Amino acid sequence: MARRKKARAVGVPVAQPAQALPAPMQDAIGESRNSDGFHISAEMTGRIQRDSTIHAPSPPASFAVQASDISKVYPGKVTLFNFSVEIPEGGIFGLLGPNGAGKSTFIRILTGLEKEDSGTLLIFGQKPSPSARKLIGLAPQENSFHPLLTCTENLLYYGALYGITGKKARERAQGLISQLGFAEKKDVQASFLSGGMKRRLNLACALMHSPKLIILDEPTTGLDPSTRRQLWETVTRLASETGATVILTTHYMEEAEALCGKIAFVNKGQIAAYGSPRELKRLAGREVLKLRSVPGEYSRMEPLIRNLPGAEGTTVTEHGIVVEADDAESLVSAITSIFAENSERIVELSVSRPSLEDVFLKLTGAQLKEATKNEAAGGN
Amino acid sequence: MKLLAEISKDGKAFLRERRTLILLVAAPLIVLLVLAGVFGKETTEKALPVSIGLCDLDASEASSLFVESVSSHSNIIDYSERSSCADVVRSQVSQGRLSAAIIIPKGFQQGITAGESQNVTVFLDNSRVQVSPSLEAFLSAAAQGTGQQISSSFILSVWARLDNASAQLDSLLVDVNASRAKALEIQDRIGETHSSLSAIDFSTLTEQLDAANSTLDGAASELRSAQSNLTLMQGKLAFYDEELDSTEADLLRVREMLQNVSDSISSAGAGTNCSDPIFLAYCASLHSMNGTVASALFEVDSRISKIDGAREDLRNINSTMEEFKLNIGASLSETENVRARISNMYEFASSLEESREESLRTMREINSSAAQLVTKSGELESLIRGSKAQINEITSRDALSVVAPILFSSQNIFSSRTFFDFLLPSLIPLILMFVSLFLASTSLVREKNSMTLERVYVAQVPLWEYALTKIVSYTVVLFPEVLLLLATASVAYGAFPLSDTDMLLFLASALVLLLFAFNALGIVIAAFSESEATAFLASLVIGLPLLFLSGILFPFEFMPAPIMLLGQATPLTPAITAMQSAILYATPNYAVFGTLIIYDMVLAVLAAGALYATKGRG
Repeated sequence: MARRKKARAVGVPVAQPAQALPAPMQDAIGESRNSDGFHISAEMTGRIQRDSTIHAPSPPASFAVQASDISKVYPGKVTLFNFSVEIPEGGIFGLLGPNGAGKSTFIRILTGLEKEDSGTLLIFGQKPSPSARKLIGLAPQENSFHPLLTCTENLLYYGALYGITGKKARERAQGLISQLGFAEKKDVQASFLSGGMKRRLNLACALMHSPKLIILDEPTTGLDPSTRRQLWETVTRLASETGATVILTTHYMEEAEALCGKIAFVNKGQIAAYGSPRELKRLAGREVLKLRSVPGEYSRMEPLIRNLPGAEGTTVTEHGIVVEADDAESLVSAITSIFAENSERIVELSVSRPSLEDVFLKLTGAQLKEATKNEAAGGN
Repeated sequence: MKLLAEISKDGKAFLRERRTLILLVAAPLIVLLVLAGVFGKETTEKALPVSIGLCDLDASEASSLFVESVSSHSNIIDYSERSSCADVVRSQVSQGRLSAAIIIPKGFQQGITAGESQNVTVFLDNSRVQVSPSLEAFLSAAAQGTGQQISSSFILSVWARLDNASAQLDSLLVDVNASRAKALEIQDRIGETHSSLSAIDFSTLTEQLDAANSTLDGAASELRSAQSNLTLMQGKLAFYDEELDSTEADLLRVREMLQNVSDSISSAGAGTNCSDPIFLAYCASLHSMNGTVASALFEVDSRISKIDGAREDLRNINSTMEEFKLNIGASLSETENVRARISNMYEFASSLEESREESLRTMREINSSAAQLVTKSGELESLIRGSKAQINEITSRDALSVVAPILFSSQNIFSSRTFFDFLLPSLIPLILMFVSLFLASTSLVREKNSMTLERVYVAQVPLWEYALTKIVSYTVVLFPEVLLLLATASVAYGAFPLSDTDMLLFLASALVLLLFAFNALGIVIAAFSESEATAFLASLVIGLPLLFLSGILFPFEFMPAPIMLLGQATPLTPAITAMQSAILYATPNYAVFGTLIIYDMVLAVLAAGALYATKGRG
């Protein structure tokens, strides 16, 4: 409890320490260890906590969402168990996790689509009343608009649900259409839009009432890379222009890395890890710098490199030399100088950084692979 | 504004979903068109276009009569000539080749004549559920009609016999009247006789008999005295006779002397001329003398004649006396007889008195019997007259009125209308029920599956408000369908004049209330359905029973009581009632609006409840 209090004080939601689950819940959740026998809560929580304590910026004035010990149990399945997270106002917050981890359930509880079995939830410091939830704009994972209506008609309809009508609604719809870049399609029936346009419309529908909290549930799923990147830009611009808090759930690690200032990994109904992308990536290990040169007298250079500041370890192999560092890129200049001084011509140089996926795999074992495989197989 | 937005959204969606729109417009019209064709037959048509097999084993006048009545309204196929025709026709019915078969047993007519009810067997193909009951009723009516004809002729023969009996009663009445007159007469006579007999005084008779006896004694004594006197008188008469004889002898002698004188005078005057005056005096004297003598002679003759007469009289008297004496003797003898008779008469009077009493008693009895006879004959006359009146009353009745005292004289109020005309007021609500159920349920399921409903939930729209909004929205969207159906009913089928705005308003209001109810029900279905197919099937599962419970296909009157109550408790039923009241009976029943509004409110609450209940699902 002391650690959690501390984390909250600095505005960093913390994954729960491993707790003894009731027997049925343990059965439902499954083993709390990854395939390597890594105990998520015991080790990761500690590291995250330390990292957070060290790297967290000054505490934010307020939180968009404060969830504490939220549990949700479906018959035969515990979806959320003591789920606690605090999402600061402003910026893009990523919720990552495999299918069935509890992301969507948390969002459904947040938006009022479902009710938590236990726990407390605050939205912008308010209890989750209809007026508080009207501050939320949800862009669901699947396009949810009326395909037979035009883009403008859809926007006007969803505006009307929030009481935005008349001229104000038309101006707002027009603004969103321009802002999201589908002005040319504003009078086109939604069913005739391209996939990217549909995602934009889906997003625009969530923004008609100028929400303070925008929830984007896997907004780029099924989009081609180009469209996906366009949408990233849109989301980034939107977040910066509106100042709204964006919660983004996604399977795509690079998307989270590209968009999110903070990310929470959700696994088995709990927060498995929390932090900035960089902080999280550190959980997966150091960056690796690989060099191959001609004639390849690595043994002469290895002590020099090992003594460089920031170099955490070196290994010589028949294919070259491998240097481990927290920031490998910062050593490149010094190492290339050593190779030059030793008349070694570098024929191959690469820097390998651990990705969020590596973190994710470390946290969840094979689950993401399975999830991805399932997604590829099922198209979902 | 949410309502307007919802209506605008749903309206545009329906308008842009061309195939649905076309189906929405076309399907009801097609349904109406098809059903108008199917049920376009006039309700007054009596003929049954079905084939009925006949196996007439009797081939009698009575069986022919029955067959004739059946064949007048249906197609009879006669199998009577075939061997085992009963089996043949049964087989034909069981194979669906005949709608029904009639088997008339052998001895049909004979049995009827003998006063035994005859059984005509009918095989019905009851797999044809709509035709079979009508056919059965038709054949039953034909059998009844034939039975009436047969019974009528029997009754007519009974009437004839009763008329005959009545005539016999007339003659009986005459006899009875005669008997009564006789009885009255007997009474009169008996009365008289009784009076007479009662008046007889037997004591006087006895006294008279006593007096007669006494008189008889006196008479006998007198007779004996008279007999003695007669004997004396006879003695005297004998004396007188002797005297007369002597007198006569004297007279005879006188006469003789006179005769001699006369003769002497006549001789003295003989030779004298009395015309000579000298003799005149003489002749005169002679003549005078002769006259005197002649007169004396005449006197004597007269006296002798008188004596002879007297003697004769005496003889006669004597004879009479003798006779008298004999008579007296006979009378005396008779007197004794009379005395004996009087003695008998005493006894006779005594027995006569007893007889009188007996007779009086008998007469009283006879009188009583006669009186009874009069009374009874009066009663009998009344009875006979009553019987005759009854017979007259009976025979004056038409034989058919006895066989069928109640004649069924039905008159179709809506004679010129077709089945479809009657069906139309039910069809319109029915079509709208299915359209609204399908449309509301599948549309909302589509919204649910496309996650647009989730956006509504996220927008924190109160679910009761959303349910109400959706119900009203679907109702508004389907309102043109209401107008289309009413216009079609009016223009194409003449159900009501389109210019009758009150009627139009009533019908449209009833249908809008119906739409409201079934849109609400559609929302309930949608709330619990995971896919459009589920919603569609659920709508069918709810709609079809409502169709069967609505009384359109199966009248409420034929349903078991609980099912009938259930049928009357569906929102479809009051809407149909409203439509029928206005279109069929031209008397709009505004009372059903209350029921429909209650259904609307209940179902709207259910719809909101269903949305609340299923909000967290999926």
